[in-house]
Amino acid sequence: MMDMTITVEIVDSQVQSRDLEKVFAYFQTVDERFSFYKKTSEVGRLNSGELKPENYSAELKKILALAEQTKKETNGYFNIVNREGKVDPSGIVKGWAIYEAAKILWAAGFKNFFIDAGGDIQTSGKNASGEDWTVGIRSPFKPEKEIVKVLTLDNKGVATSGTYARGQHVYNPYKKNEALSDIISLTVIGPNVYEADRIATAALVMGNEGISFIENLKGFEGYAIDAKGIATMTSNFKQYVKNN
Amino acid sequence: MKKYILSALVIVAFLSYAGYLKTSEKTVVESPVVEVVVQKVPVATTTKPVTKPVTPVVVVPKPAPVPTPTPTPPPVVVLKGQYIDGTYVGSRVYNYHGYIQVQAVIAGGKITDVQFLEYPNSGDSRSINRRAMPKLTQEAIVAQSAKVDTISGATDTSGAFKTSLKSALSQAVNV
Repeated sequence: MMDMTITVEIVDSQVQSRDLEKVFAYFQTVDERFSFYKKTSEVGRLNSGELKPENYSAELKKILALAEQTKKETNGYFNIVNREGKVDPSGIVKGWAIYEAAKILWAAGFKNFFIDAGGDIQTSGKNASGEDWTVGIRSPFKPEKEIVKVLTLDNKGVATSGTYARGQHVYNPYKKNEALSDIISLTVIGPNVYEADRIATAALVMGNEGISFIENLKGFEGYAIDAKGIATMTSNFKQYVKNN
Repeated sequence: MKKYILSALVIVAFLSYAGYLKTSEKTVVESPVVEVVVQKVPVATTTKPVTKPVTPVVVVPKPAPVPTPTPTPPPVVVLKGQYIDGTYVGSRVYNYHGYIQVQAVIAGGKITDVQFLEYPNSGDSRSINRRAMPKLTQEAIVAQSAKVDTISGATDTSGAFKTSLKSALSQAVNV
């Protein structure tokens, strides 16, 4: 998780560097607990069998419960157990951690900020110009240099899942041996980044059905891009698109 | 089609292995390839090139050669290490969900364009079911020039993309 870029921007004038440090320190502790790649993390010890269920921390139990709940809500499409049978909770931890970090800032009295961890974002209030935050959607074809949409968001979460990135490690639990369909990027706007992230992950796995799944979820909008560069959006997505 | 995919998988597994030996660098292709090949060709489980430098037991009658455009030697003096103008096709790299292959265009000794020749795709589920999605609208994506506060995207740019590009550029470089 820590190999991703984390950006925190706080507009409120009372901000001090220690507020930002608090947020980054929080991400550090999350990574140390939940990293799938660190053998010494709680998740690493869970997967090696060293950590017994009775010794799970409250945070780990919470994440496992959220993952289980998400699995039910997405008809089994969201699953933190990977193909090797190991538990990899990064699909739920990331959005959850960003949202928890935002709660830390809200509790400290901040209102206008965004937190971006690896392209999943929680926005709050307005930007430095006093307007809604503008968030670009990265082009899956030219991820280094192009955006294909500009969103304006205030108190929302936005997350993108895609097959163009490494490490997504999503697969369809019902068709384990098949490549995912031709949706290569799926952006979800939700009430917060935790919700947006888990729904984006699950809906990407659903392939072409994913966008319909989002359409039927109250409070969520989605923008799916296929391998040919054709985007399909939910009916109210446009209200978040700049100049629309 | 299935046969094609199977042989493609096998070839890619071999190429990846060859590429691995060549660069002796751990690339993203390594474990996904093993995983897929395992499903199709059980013996290929030993191709994981981490500790065992065994002959790849991939069942290929004759491994296809790496698609090398072999640029002709430049008539003019080109500095060592400089890119030679031309179009270079990178290796086909598996990135867990499918294959990525890019081609790099070098002009004036610089990379002027990188194009995708192949992108992850199942190949059999291309049609969009419009009937099932009456309220959804579609559009062709268009690059935006607006300045934004931040950008939402899938985590990290594809390692497979970088690997394929690297192999394309390794052909372009003057040695």
